Amino acid sequence: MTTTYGNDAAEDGVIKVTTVDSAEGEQAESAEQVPEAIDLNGLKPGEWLKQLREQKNLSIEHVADRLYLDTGVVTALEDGDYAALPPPIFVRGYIRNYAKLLEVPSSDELVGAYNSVQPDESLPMITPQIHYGGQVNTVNSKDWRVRAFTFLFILAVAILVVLGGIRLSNKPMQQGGVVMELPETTENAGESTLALPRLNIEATTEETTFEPPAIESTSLETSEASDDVENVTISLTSTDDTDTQEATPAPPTFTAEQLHTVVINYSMDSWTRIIDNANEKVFEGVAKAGRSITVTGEPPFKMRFGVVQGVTVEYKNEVITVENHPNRSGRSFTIGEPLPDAN
Amino acid sequence: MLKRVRGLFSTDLSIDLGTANTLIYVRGQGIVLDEPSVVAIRQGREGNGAKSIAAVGAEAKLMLGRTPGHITAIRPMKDGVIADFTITERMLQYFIHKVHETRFLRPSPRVLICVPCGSTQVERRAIRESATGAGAREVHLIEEPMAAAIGAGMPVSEATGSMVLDIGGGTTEVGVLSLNGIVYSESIRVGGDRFDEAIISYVRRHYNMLIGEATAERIKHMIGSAYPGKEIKEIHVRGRNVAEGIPRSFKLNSNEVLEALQEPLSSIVSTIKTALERIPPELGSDIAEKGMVLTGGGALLKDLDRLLMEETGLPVIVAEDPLTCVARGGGRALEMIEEHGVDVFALDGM
Repeated sequence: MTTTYGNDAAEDGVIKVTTVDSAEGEQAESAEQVPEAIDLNGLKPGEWLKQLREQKNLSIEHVADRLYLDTGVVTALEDGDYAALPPPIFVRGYIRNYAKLLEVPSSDELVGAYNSVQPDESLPMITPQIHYGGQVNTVNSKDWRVRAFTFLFILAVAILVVLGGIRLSNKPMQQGGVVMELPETTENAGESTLALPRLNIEATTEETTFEPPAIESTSLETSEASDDVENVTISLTSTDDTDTQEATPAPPTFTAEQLHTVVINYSMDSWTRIIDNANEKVFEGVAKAGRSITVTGEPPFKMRFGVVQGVTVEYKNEVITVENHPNRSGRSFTIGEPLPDAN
Repeated sequence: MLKRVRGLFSTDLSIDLGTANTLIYVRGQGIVLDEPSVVAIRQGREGNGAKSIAAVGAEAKLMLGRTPGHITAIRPMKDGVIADFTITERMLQYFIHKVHETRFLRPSPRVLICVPCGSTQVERRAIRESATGAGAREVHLIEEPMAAAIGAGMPVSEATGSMVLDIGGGTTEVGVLSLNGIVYSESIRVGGDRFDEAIISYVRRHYNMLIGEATAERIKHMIGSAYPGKEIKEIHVRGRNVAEGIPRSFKLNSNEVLEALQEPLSSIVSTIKTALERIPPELGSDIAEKGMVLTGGGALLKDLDRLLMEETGLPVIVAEDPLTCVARGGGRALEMIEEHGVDVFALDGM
């Protein structure tokens, strides 16, 4: 018997297939019995194979021997007793080998029938899609989910940026606004001027930040109005390094010693330089944490610190805290006012 | 945190960087690339003669053995390891780029590459470096038998022995696995290529004809078998007669091919026997009960399972879709790494 296959791949190669009879013996004569199309008729793949085996007059022992399986495994396979069998991949293999032994042309349907009975979790469920040549299934960003997600992500980032920007810019603006309004109200409601500075104090509490020009205008009025401003802690937003000035509340009670002495306490090591009004370096160098230095000189003092977070400055019995800048630790500012009567 | 966000946008690739074919499996998409590991290089004519890539993959494979002077088609992988570092890197770059578009918001992919279990540290490092050079963000290496077993769907995480035989283009790997680890593995440098060479030398000895690698491969695919069957197939082949120096046509039948393949096949069989000898008896009994699984292109050689069954007396099963087992297994391994952390496997981390 000689059949000729069509050869799709190459120019040279007609394959001739010759079947050698009785070389292997037993199953050669049964080729005609094999049905072309597998019709399971609702049978389990094992039962179908069993029928075919019985048609071919093969014993279970023979099959087990040829497949190198235990007879128990073959029986379980034919009975569809899958619990007694090893994991699905092996069972599929046994079914294929069994079908091959019985010369079934294609075992796909049998394996398919088995898969429908026993779906396999261990195998990756994604069916491989093989693309040959130039057409490649690309993982691209055109997929709508990717696009939507990217869009949302960008939107969220943008919103965060805008909100953050507003918050940052709001801080100085609000405080500036409050301070700017105050004088107006004072003028309008003449009698309540006394109360207003207190309001101001309450509203702004400890964290109050004054914009330098505004401070000057208010401090003039507040100094006349009340004395209890003394305890207000004034923080300096010294974004500009030079022109920040301390608001001076009515000062006449200070002694000359108080006016000329600055006490600096260190909680962190910091480089420090202090220049007084006479342009004399009253202190320069690195001060260790925990130390406290007292300098005397002529106010105002120009101070410059390496690590401003670790420094508290006491002057005229007040603690001057300097607002931290998140990114910069170095800072310079001036405290004190030139004395009217320079000694 | 940032890593996670980036992970959402990037893709995880599992690459089976084989001697014959390179396959890429993308998580969630399946196998997206399957091309021969061949690169054609064009030598520039003017000036310093800079080399450039002429073709990669299937296109380049057609050029193998058919190139003019200024183009060389080479296979940068040999015996499962990198033979030409720069070319491999370029090839990987090309393949990765093909499946992973570089975009503004798409970081480079995380890549898992399968390496032969017998490869040395130097060879592994070369593969890792070339993947990094090709634009991978993170590179994991996994041993091929492990990936093949996972891809075939074997219960590797259970406390039961699973034996897998992966016959690739350049190497054949035997692995016995249990509890996500390799108990025994052996790699020999016999594979599909060696089958081709065996056919070439057989034809040369017996017919005095020279045939090319591509022809030998076709003979193997069409009429090659590992065990004498009832059918004898014949094929007409053209080659160059060594004595006359003229191309001639001749006939070759499957029994002759079987004879030609005896030598590489016997070394595979002896490797399996050695493996069965060396593994602990408990695992041996597990394997004897369930059988071993064949993966890789070599598993497609006709009746190879029958040969191994007769030689070892164990049930032998050919995995479904054996060519893609390793790449699919690598993809599954990536998912397992995602779920359980890198320590699931004895991987070579960064």
